[in-house]
Amino acid sequence: MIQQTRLLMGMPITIEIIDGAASAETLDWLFGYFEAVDQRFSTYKSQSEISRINAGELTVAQASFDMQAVFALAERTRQETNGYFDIWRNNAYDPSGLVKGWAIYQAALLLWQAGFTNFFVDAGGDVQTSGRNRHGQPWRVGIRNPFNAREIVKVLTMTTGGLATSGTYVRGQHIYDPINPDQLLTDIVSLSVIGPNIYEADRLATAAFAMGRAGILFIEQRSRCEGYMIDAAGQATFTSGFARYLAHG
Amino acid sequence: MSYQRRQSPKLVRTLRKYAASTFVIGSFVAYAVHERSLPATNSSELALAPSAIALAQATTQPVVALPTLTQLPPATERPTKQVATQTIPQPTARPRATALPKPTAKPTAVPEPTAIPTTVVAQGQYKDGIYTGDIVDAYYGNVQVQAVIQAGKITNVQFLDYPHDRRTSLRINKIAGPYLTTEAIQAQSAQVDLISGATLTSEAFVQSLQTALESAHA
Repeated sequence: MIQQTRLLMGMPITIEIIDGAASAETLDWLFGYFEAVDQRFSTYKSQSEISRINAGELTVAQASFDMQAVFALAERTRQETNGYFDIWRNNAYDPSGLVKGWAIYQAALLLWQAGFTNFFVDAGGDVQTSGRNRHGQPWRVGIRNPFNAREIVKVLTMTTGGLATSGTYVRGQHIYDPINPDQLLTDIVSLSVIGPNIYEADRLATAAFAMGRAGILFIEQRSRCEGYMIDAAGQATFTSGFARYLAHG
Repeated sequence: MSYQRRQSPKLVRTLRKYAASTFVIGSFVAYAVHERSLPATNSSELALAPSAIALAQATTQPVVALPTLTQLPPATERPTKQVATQTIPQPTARPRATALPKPTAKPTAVPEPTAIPTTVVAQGQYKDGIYTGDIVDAYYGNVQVQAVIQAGKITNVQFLDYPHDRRTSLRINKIAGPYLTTEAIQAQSAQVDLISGATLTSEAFVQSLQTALESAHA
Protein backbone atom coordinates (compact mmCIF):
# COMPACT_ATOMS: atom_id res chain seq x y z
CA MET A 1 0.00 0.00 0.00
CA ILE A 2 1.23 3.48 -0.83
CA GLN A 3 -0.37 6.83 0.00
CA GLN A 4 0.60 10.45 -0.50
CA THR A 5 -0.97 13.90 -0.23
CA ARG A 6 0.22 16.89 -2.24
CA LEU A 7 -1.13 20.43 -2.51
CA LEU A 8 -2.08 21.01 -6.12
CA MET A 9 -4.72 23.14 -7.84
CA GLY A 10 -5.15 24.97 -4.53
CA MET A 11 -6.28 21.89 -2.64
CA PRO A 12 -4.91 18.75 -1.08
CA ILE A 13 -4.92 15.74 -3.42
CA THR A 14 -4.51 12.33 -1.83
CA ILE A 15 -3.84 9.13 -3.73
CA GLU A 16 -3.78 5.73 -2.07
CA ILE A 17 -3.03 2.56 -4.00
CA ILE A 18 -3.38 -0.84 -2.31
CA ASP A 19 -2.00 -3.00 -5.12
CA GLY A 20 1.56 -4.08 -4.45
CA ALA A 21 2.84 -2.99 -7.86
CA ALA A 22 2.35 0.67 -6.98
CA SER A 23 5.53 2.63 -6.33
CA ALA A 24 6.65 6.19 -5.69
CA GLU A 25 7.00 6.56 -9.47
CA THR A 26 3.32 5.66 -9.89
CA LEU A 27 2.39 8.50 -7.55
CA ASP A 28 4.77 10.97 -9.25
CA TRP A 29 3.23 10.07 -12.59
CA LEU A 30 -0.33 10.67 -11.28
CA PHE A 31 0.48 13.90 -9.47
CA GLY A 32 2.24 14.97 -12.65
CA TYR A 33 -1.02 14.44 -14.47
CA PHE A 34 -2.85 16.74 -12.04
CA GLU A 35 -0.13 19.37 -12.50
CA ALA A 36 -0.59 19.22 -16.26
CA VAL A 37 -4.35 19.65 -15.84
CA ASP A 38 -3.72 22.65 -13.59
CA GLN A 39 -1.37 24.20 -16.16
CA ARG A 40 -4.01 23.86 -18.84
CA PHE A 41 -7.22 24.69 -16.98
CA SER A 42 -6.27 27.12 -14.21
CA THR A 43 -8.00 30.48 -14.60
CA TYR A 44 -5.43 31.90 -12.15
CA LYS A 45 -2.53 31.27 -14.53
CA SER A 46 -2.39 33.91 -17.27
CA GLN A 47 -0.66 31.55 -19.71
CA SER A 48 -2.95 28.58 -19.19
CA GLU A 49 -4.92 27.42 -22.18
CA ILE A 50 -8.23 28.49 -20.62
CA SER A 51 -6.86 31.97 -19.85
CA ARG A 52 -5.70 32.32 -23.44
CA ILE A 53 -9.15 31.31 -24.67
CA ASN A 54 -10.72 33.91 -22.37
CA ALA A 55 -8.23 36.51 -23.61
CA GLY A 56 -9.22 35.76 -27.19
CA GLU A 57 -5.77 34.49 -28.11
CA LEU A 58 -7.06 31.01 -28.81
CA THR A 59 -10.33 29.50 -29.96
CA VAL A 60 -11.77 26.34 -28.46
CA ALA A 61 -11.42 24.67 -31.85
CA GLN A 62 -7.69 25.43 -31.83
CA ALA A 63 -7.27 24.20 -28.26
CA SER A 64 -6.10 20.82 -27.01
CA PHE A 65 -8.18 17.66 -27.21
CA ASP A 66 -8.70 17.78 -23.42
CA MET A 67 -9.96 21.36 -23.59
CA GLN A 68 -12.39 20.51 -26.38
CA ALA A 69 -13.57 17.46 -24.44
CA VAL A 70 -14.21 19.54 -21.30
CA PHE A 71 -16.12 22.17 -23.28
CA ALA A 72 -18.26 19.47 -24.89
CA LEU A 73 -18.94 17.84 -21.52
CA ALA A 74 -19.77 21.22 -19.99
CA GLU A 75 -22.29 21.96 -22.71
CA ARG A 76 -23.90 18.57 -22.27
CA THR A 77 -24.09 19.10 -18.51
CA ARG A 78 -25.61 22.56 -18.99
CA GLN A 79 -28.39 21.03 -21.07
CA GLU A 80 -28.97 18.12 -18.70
CA THR A 81 -29.29 20.45 -15.71
CA ASN A 82 -31.58 23.02 -17.40
CA GLY A 83 -28.88 25.64 -17.30
CA TYR A 84 -27.99 25.24 -13.62
CA PHE A 85 -24.51 24.17 -14.59
CA ASP A 86 -22.82 26.80 -16.75
CA ILE A 87 -19.11 27.41 -17.22
CA TRP A 88 -19.83 30.81 -18.81
CA ARG A 89 -19.96 33.46 -16.11
CA ASN A 90 -18.81 37.06 -15.76
CA ASN A 91 -17.98 37.11 -19.48
CA ALA A 92 -15.44 34.35 -19.18
CA TYR A 93 -15.27 30.57 -19.24
CA ASP A 94 -14.54 28.93 -15.90
CA PRO A 95 -14.75 25.14 -16.25
CA SER A 96 -13.22 24.47 -12.82
CA GLY A 97 -16.58 23.16 -11.56
CA LEU A 98 -16.30 20.34 -14.05
CA VAL A 99 -12.54 19.93 -14.40
CA LYS A 100 -11.91 18.64 -10.90
CA GLY A 101 -14.25 15.66 -11.15
CA TRP A 102 -13.17 15.05 -14.71
CA ALA A 103 -9.46 15.10 -13.75
CA ILE A 104 -9.98 12.72 -10.81
CA TYR A 105 -11.80 10.34 -13.12
CA GLN A 106 -9.06 10.63 -15.75
CA ALA A 107 -6.48 9.77 -13.08
CA ALA A 108 -8.54 6.73 -12.12
CA LEU A 109 -8.75 5.71 -15.79
CA LEU A 110 -4.95 5.96 -16.00
CA LEU A 111 -4.64 3.70 -12.97
CA TRP A 112 -7.07 1.15 -14.39
CA GLN A 113 -5.22 1.18 -17.71
CA ALA A 114 -1.98 0.54 -15.81
CA GLY A 115 -3.58 -2.52 -14.21
CA PHE A 116 -4.39 -1.19 -10.73
CA THR A 117 -7.74 -2.12 -9.22
CA ASN A 118 -7.70 -1.15 -5.54
CA PHE A 119 -7.17 2.56 -4.89
CA PHE A 120 -8.77 5.92 -4.21
CA VAL A 121 -8.09 9.38 -5.57
CA ASP A 122 -9.30 12.27 -3.42
CA ALA A 123 -9.05 15.86 -4.63
CA GLY A 124 -10.32 18.41 -2.12
CA GLY A 125 -12.99 16.10 -0.73
CA ASP A 126 -14.22 14.69 -4.04
CA VAL A 127 -13.42 11.02 -4.29
CA GLN A 128 -13.11 8.19 -6.79
CA THR A 129 -12.82 4.80 -5.11
CA SER A 130 -11.96 1.52 -6.81
CA GLY A 131 -12.05 -2.03 -5.51
CA ARG A 132 -11.31 -2.49 -1.83
CA ASN A 133 -9.28 -1.00 0.99
CA ARG A 134 -6.18 -2.41 2.68
CA HIS A 135 -8.33 -4.77 4.76
CA GLY A 136 -9.95 -6.23 1.65
CA GLN A 137 -13.19 -4.49 2.62
CA PRO A 138 -15.19 -1.89 0.69
CA TRP A 139 -13.89 1.62 1.17
CA ARG A 140 -15.34 3.42 4.17
CA VAL A 141 -15.98 7.03 3.27
CA GLY A 142 -17.18 9.65 5.73
CA ILE A 143 -19.30 12.69 4.92
CA ARG A 144 -17.90 15.72 6.70
CA ASN A 145 -20.07 17.70 9.10
CA PRO A 146 -20.62 21.08 7.40
CA PHE A 147 -20.82 22.73 10.83
CA ASN A 148 -17.69 21.12 12.24
CA ALA A 149 -14.90 20.09 9.87
CA ARG A 150 -13.45 17.75 12.50
CA GLU A 151 -16.55 15.58 12.51
CA ILE A 152 -18.23 13.22 10.09
CA VAL A 153 -22.00 12.75 10.02
CA LYS A 154 -22.31 9.65 7.84
CA VAL A 155 -20.20 6.62 7.01
CA LEU A 156 -20.65 5.04 3.58
CA THR A 157 -19.21 1.88 2.10
CA MET A 158 -18.21 1.97 -1.54
CA THR A 159 -16.32 -0.31 -3.88
CA THR A 160 -15.96 1.41 -7.26
CA GLY A 161 -17.72 4.74 -7.56
CA GLY A 162 -17.61 8.48 -7.08
CA LEU A 163 -18.60 10.62 -4.12
CA ALA A 164 -18.60 14.40 -4.39
CA THR A 165 -19.76 17.00 -1.92
CA SER A 166 -20.73 20.56 -2.77
CA GLY A 167 -21.18 23.02 0.01
CA THR A 168 -21.04 26.58 1.24
CA TYR A 169 -18.77 25.87 4.19
CA VAL A 170 -14.99 25.97 4.49
CA ARG A 171 -14.46 28.04 1.36
CA GLY A 172 -17.48 30.22 1.82
CA GLN A 173 -19.84 30.87 -1.04
CA HIS A 174 -17.96 29.20 -3.88
CA ILE A 175 -21.02 27.98 -5.75
CA TYR A 176 -23.62 30.28 -7.16
CA ASP A 177 -26.99 30.03 -8.84
CA PRO A 178 -26.51 30.89 -12.53
CA ILE A 179 -30.27 31.44 -12.96
CA ASN A 180 -30.39 33.96 -10.09
CA PRO A 181 -26.75 35.01 -9.69
CA ASP A 182 -27.45 37.52 -6.93
CA GLN A 183 -29.21 35.08 -4.67
CA LEU A 184 -27.21 33.67 -1.79
CA LEU A 185 -27.31 29.93 -1.36
CA THR A 186 -27.65 29.72 2.38
CA ASP A 187 -30.53 27.28 2.52
CA ILE A 188 -28.55 24.12 1.81
CA VAL A 189 -25.07 23.91 3.29
CA SER A 190 -23.92 20.53 1.97
CA LEU A 191 -24.96 18.15 -0.78
CA SER A 192 -23.13 14.86 -1.26
CA VAL A 193 -23.75 12.80 -4.39
CA ILE A 194 -22.80 9.19 -4.96
CA GLY A 195 -22.45 8.35 -8.65
CA PRO A 196 -21.08 5.61 -10.88
CA ASN A 197 -17.87 7.67 -11.08
CA ILE A 198 -16.55 10.94 -9.70
CA TYR A 199 -17.13 12.84 -12.94
CA GLU A 200 -20.88 12.13 -12.76
CA ALA A 201 -21.04 12.68 -9.01
CA ASP A 202 -19.14 15.97 -9.08
CA ARG A 203 -20.96 17.68 -11.93
CA LEU A 204 -24.37 16.61 -10.63
CA ALA A 205 -23.52 17.68 -7.08
CA THR A 206 -22.45 21.10 -8.34
CA ALA A 207 -25.58 21.58 -10.44
CA ALA A 208 -27.97 20.18 -7.84
CA PHE A 209 -26.49 22.34 -5.11
CA ALA A 210 -27.26 25.42 -7.19
CA MET A 211 -30.90 24.33 -7.32
CA GLY A 212 -31.34 24.75 -3.57
CA ARG A 213 -33.89 22.48 -1.92
CA ALA A 214 -35.03 21.09 -5.27
CA GLY A 215 -31.53 19.71 -5.83
CA ILE A 216 -32.17 16.52 -3.91
CA LEU A 217 -35.22 15.84 -6.10
CA PHE A 218 -33.04 16.29 -9.16
CA ILE A 219 -30.62 13.68 -7.80
CA GLU A 220 -33.52 11.36 -6.92
CA GLN A 221 -34.61 11.45 -10.54
CA ARG A 222 -31.14 10.62 -11.89
CA SER A 223 -30.51 6.93 -12.36
CA ARG A 224 -27.47 5.45 -10.60
CA CYS A 225 -27.14 8.51 -8.36
CA GLU A 226 -27.93 8.98 -4.68
CA GLY A 227 -27.71 12.09 -2.57
CA TYR A 228 -27.45 13.32 1.01
CA MET A 229 -28.40 16.97 1.55
CA ILE A 230 -27.87 18.95 4.76
CA ASP A 231 -29.69 22.24 5.33
CA ALA A 232 -28.81 25.21 7.50
CA ALA A 233 -30.83 23.76 10.38
CA GLY A 234 -28.74 20.59 10.45
CA GLN A 235 -31.54 18.53 8.95
CA ALA A 236 -30.57 16.00 6.30
CA THR A 237 -32.68 14.76 3.39
CA PHE A 238 -31.58 11.74 1.40
CA THR A 239 -32.67 9.83 -1.69
CA SER A 240 -34.46 6.49 -1.83
CA GLY A 241 -31.39 4.35 -2.53
CA PHE A 242 -28.96 6.17 -0.27
CA ALA A 243 -29.35 3.83 2.72
CA ARG A 244 -27.91 1.04 0.60
CA TYR A 245 -24.48 2.65 0.99
CA LEU A 246 -24.62 3.12 4.74
CA ALA A 247 -21.95 1.30 6.72
CA HIS A 248 -23.20 -1.00 9.45
CA GLY A 249 -21.03 -1.06 12.52
CA MET B 1 -43.01 21.34 -8.30
CA SER B 2 -46.44 22.83 -7.77
CA TYR B 3 -48.29 19.58 -7.67
CA GLN B 4 -51.43 19.70 -5.55
CA ARG B 5 -52.72 16.61 -3.86
CA ARG B 6 -56.10 15.71 -5.29
CA GLN B 7 -58.37 12.83 -4.40
CA SER B 8 -59.40 10.45 -7.13
CA PRO B 9 -63.10 10.35 -8.00
CA LYS B 10 -63.09 6.63 -7.33
CA LEU B 11 -61.90 7.19 -3.80
CA VAL B 12 -64.56 9.82 -3.32
CA ARG B 13 -67.26 7.42 -4.44
CA THR B 14 -65.97 4.62 -2.23
CA LEU B 15 -65.80 6.86 0.78
CA ARG B 16 -69.25 8.24 0.19
CA LYS B 17 -70.60 4.70 0.05
CA TYR B 18 -68.87 3.87 3.31
CA ALA B 19 -70.03 7.06 4.91
CA ALA B 20 -73.60 6.39 3.86
CA SER B 21 -73.43 2.79 5.08
CA THR B 22 -71.95 3.89 8.37
CA PHE B 23 -74.73 6.39 8.75
CA VAL B 24 -77.49 3.88 8.01
CA ILE B 25 -76.12 1.37 10.50
CA GLY B 26 -75.36 4.07 13.02
CA SER B 27 -78.84 5.46 12.68
CA PHE B 28 -80.42 2.11 13.38
CA VAL B 29 -78.22 1.55 16.40
CA ALA B 30 -78.90 5.05 17.64
CA TYR B 31 -82.57 4.54 17.09
CA ALA B 32 -82.59 1.19 18.84
CA VAL B 33 -80.93 2.72 21.87
CA HIS B 34 -83.18 5.72 21.68
CA GLU B 35 -86.34 3.67 21.42
CA ARG B 36 -85.59 1.68 24.53
CA SER B 37 -85.29 4.87 26.51
CA LEU B 38 -88.53 6.40 25.20
CA PRO B 39 -92.17 5.86 26.14
CA ALA B 40 -93.81 3.33 23.83
CA THR B 41 -96.25 5.86 22.36
CA ASN B 42 -93.63 7.69 20.29
CA SER B 43 -91.95 4.65 18.89
CA SER B 44 -94.08 4.14 15.79
CA GLU B 45 -93.49 7.68 14.58
CA LEU B 46 -89.78 7.64 15.10
CA ALA B 47 -89.24 4.20 13.65
CA LEU B 48 -89.35 5.53 10.14
CA ALA B 49 -87.24 8.56 10.60
CA PRO B 50 -83.62 7.42 10.49
CA SER B 51 -84.01 5.18 7.47
CA ALA B 52 -85.79 7.93 5.58
CA ILE B 53 -82.98 10.32 6.22
CA ALA B 54 -80.45 7.71 5.36
CA LEU B 55 -82.12 7.00 2.05
CA ALA B 56 -82.28 10.65 1.25
CA GLN B 57 -78.66 11.22 2.12
CA ALA B 58 -77.40 8.18 0.28
CA THR B 59 -78.94 9.35 -2.95
CA THR B 60 -77.99 12.99 -2.68
CA GLN B 61 -75.06 14.39 -0.84
CA PRO B 62 -72.42 13.52 1.75
CA VAL B 63 -73.63 12.60 5.14
CA VAL B 64 -72.48 15.23 7.54
CA ALA B 65 -71.43 18.80 7.34
CA LEU B 66 -67.81 18.17 8.21
CA PRO B 67 -65.91 21.11 9.60
CA THR B 68 -62.41 22.13 8.57
CA LEU B 69 -59.50 19.73 8.56
CA THR B 70 -58.37 20.47 12.05
CA GLN B 71 -61.76 19.94 13.65
CA LEU B 72 -62.66 16.47 12.49
CA PRO B 73 -65.18 15.04 15.00
CA PRO B 74 -64.88 11.47 16.16
CA ALA B 75 -66.54 9.07 13.75
CA THR B 76 -69.03 7.82 16.30
CA GLU B 77 -70.51 11.28 16.73
CA ARG B 78 -71.63 11.65 13.19
CA PRO B 79 -74.85 9.59 13.02
CA THR B 80 -76.09 10.93 16.33
CA LYS B 81 -75.40 14.47 15.31
CA GLN B 82 -77.27 13.93 12.08
CA VAL B 83 -80.37 12.66 13.82
CA ALA B 84 -80.30 15.54 16.21
CA THR B 85 -80.03 18.30 13.65
CA GLN B 86 -82.32 17.02 10.92
CA THR B 87 -86.03 17.63 10.98
CA ILE B 88 -87.57 14.26 11.57
CA PRO B 89 -90.21 13.53 8.93
CA GLN B 90 -93.74 12.71 9.98
CA PRO B 91 -95.13 9.23 9.28
CA THR B 92 -97.18 10.67 6.42
CA ALA B 93 -94.00 11.68 4.70
CA ARG B 94 -93.10 8.04 4.41
CA PRO B 95 -90.61 7.97 1.59
CA ARG B 96 -91.79 7.40 -1.90
CA ALA B 97 -89.53 8.12 -4.77
CA THR B 98 -91.02 11.56 -5.38
CA ALA B 99 -90.99 12.49 -1.73
CA LEU B 100 -87.26 12.20 -1.38
CA PRO B 101 -85.46 15.46 -0.87
CA LYS B 102 -84.09 16.95 -4.05
CA PRO B 103 -80.36 17.48 -4.28
CA THR B 104 -81.03 21.21 -4.35
CA ALA B 105 -82.70 20.98 -0.97
CA LYS B 106 -79.48 19.94 0.72
CA PRO B 107 -78.33 21.96 3.68
CA THR B 108 -75.94 24.74 2.75
CA ALA B 109 -73.44 23.52 5.30
CA VAL B 110 -72.83 20.30 3.38
CA PRO B 111 -69.27 20.49 2.05
CA GLU B 112 -68.02 19.70 -1.39
CA PRO B 113 -67.56 15.98 -1.94
CA THR B 114 -63.80 16.40 -2.24
CA ALA B 115 -63.58 17.62 1.32
CA ILE B 116 -64.83 14.34 2.73
CA PRO B 117 -62.08 11.85 1.87
CA THR B 118 -59.38 14.22 2.96
CA THR B 119 -60.61 14.06 6.49
CA VAL B 120 -61.93 10.54 6.55
CA VAL B 121 -58.77 8.88 5.25
CA ALA B 122 -56.50 10.75 7.62
CA GLN B 123 -54.81 7.68 9.01
CA GLY B 124 -51.07 8.37 8.68
CA GLN B 125 -48.82 9.04 11.60
CA TYR B 126 -49.78 12.73 11.56
CA LYS B 127 -53.06 14.44 12.20
CA ASP B 128 -54.27 16.72 9.42
CA GLY B 129 -53.80 20.41 9.87
CA ILE B 130 -51.28 23.20 9.69
CA TYR B 131 -48.55 23.13 12.30
CA THR B 132 -46.00 25.77 13.17
CA GLY B 133 -42.68 24.72 14.62
CA ASP B 134 -40.50 26.39 17.22
CA ILE B 135 -37.96 29.02 16.29
CA VAL B 136 -34.65 27.20 16.13
CA ASP B 137 -31.20 28.73 16.12
CA ALA B 138 -29.62 27.35 12.95
CA TYR B 139 -26.08 28.71 13.12
CA TYR B 140 -26.72 31.37 10.48
CA GLY B 141 -29.92 32.72 11.94
CA ASN B 142 -33.29 31.57 13.10
CA VAL B 143 -35.35 28.99 11.35
CA GLN B 144 -39.05 28.43 11.83
CA VAL B 145 -41.13 26.20 9.64
CA GLN B 146 -44.78 25.50 9.09
CA ALA B 147 -45.89 22.07 7.92
CA VAL B 148 -49.14 21.24 6.16
CA ILE B 149 -50.47 17.73 6.77
CA GLN B 150 -53.11 16.36 4.45
CA ALA B 151 -54.36 12.79 4.57
CA GLY B 152 -51.75 12.07 7.21
CA LYS B 153 -48.85 13.10 5.02
CA ILE B 154 -46.67 16.18 4.85
CA THR B 155 -47.70 17.99 1.70
CA ASN B 156 -45.92 21.30 2.17
CA VAL B 157 -43.28 22.86 4.37
CA GLN B 158 -42.99 26.64 4.52
CA PHE B 159 -40.16 28.55 6.08
CA LEU B 160 -41.68 31.33 8.20
CA ASP B 161 -38.41 32.58 9.54
CA TYR B 162 -35.22 32.08 7.72
CA PRO B 163 -31.66 33.38 7.74
CA HIS B 164 -31.32 36.28 5.28
CA ASP B 165 -35.10 36.70 5.19
CA ARG B 166 -35.51 34.30 2.35
CA ARG B 167 -38.82 32.47 2.35
CA THR B 168 -38.55 29.10 0.79
CA SER B 169 -41.13 26.52 0.04
CA LEU B 170 -40.43 22.88 -0.25
CA ARG B 171 -43.24 21.15 -2.03
CA ILE B 172 -42.99 17.43 -1.88
CA ASN B 173 -44.74 16.10 -4.93
CA LYS B 174 -46.31 12.76 -5.56
CA ILE B 175 -43.18 11.34 -7.10
CA ALA B 176 -40.65 12.53 -4.60
CA GLY B 177 -42.73 12.41 -1.45
CA PRO B 178 -42.58 8.73 -0.60
CA TYR B 179 -38.91 8.31 -1.47
CA LEU B 180 -37.02 11.08 0.27
CA THR B 181 -36.24 10.64 3.93
CA THR B 182 -35.11 13.19 6.49
CA GLU B 183 -33.12 12.96 9.69
CA ALA B 184 -31.18 15.22 12.00
CA ILE B 185 -27.46 14.95 11.35
CA GLN B 186 -25.43 13.21 14.02
CA ALA B 187 -21.69 12.99 14.52
CA GLN B 188 -20.22 9.54 13.88
CA SER B 189 -17.24 8.05 15.64
CA ALA B 190 -16.53 5.18 13.23
CA GLN B 191 -13.15 4.81 11.50
CA VAL B 192 -13.07 5.74 7.82
CA ASP B 193 -10.54 5.46 5.00
CA LEU B 194 -11.26 8.93 3.66
CA ILE B 195 -13.68 11.83 3.95
CA SER B 196 -15.83 13.68 1.43
CA GLY B 197 -16.66 17.30 2.06
CA ALA B 198 -16.79 20.67 0.39
CA THR B 199 -13.38 21.56 -0.91
CA LEU B 200 -10.81 22.36 1.72
CA THR B 201 -8.44 25.15 0.85
CA SER B 202 -4.76 24.50 1.11
CA GLU B 203 -4.59 26.90 4.04
CA ALA B 204 -7.40 25.15 5.87
CA PHE B 205 -5.73 21.88 5.17
CA VAL B 206 -2.43 23.11 6.58
CA GLN B 207 -4.18 24.52 9.65
CA SER B 208 -6.02 21.29 10.16
CA LEU B 209 -2.83 19.34 9.70
CA GLN B 210 -1.08 21.52 12.26
CA THR B 211 -3.76 20.94 14.87
CA ALA B 212 -3.67 17.25 14.12
CA LEU B 213 0.07 17.19 14.61
CA GLU B 214 -0.23 19.19 17.83
CA SER B 215 -2.67 16.70 19.23
CA ALA B 216 -0.43 13.89 18.03
CA HIS B 217 2.34 15.35 20.20
CA ALA B 218 0.24 15.45 23.33
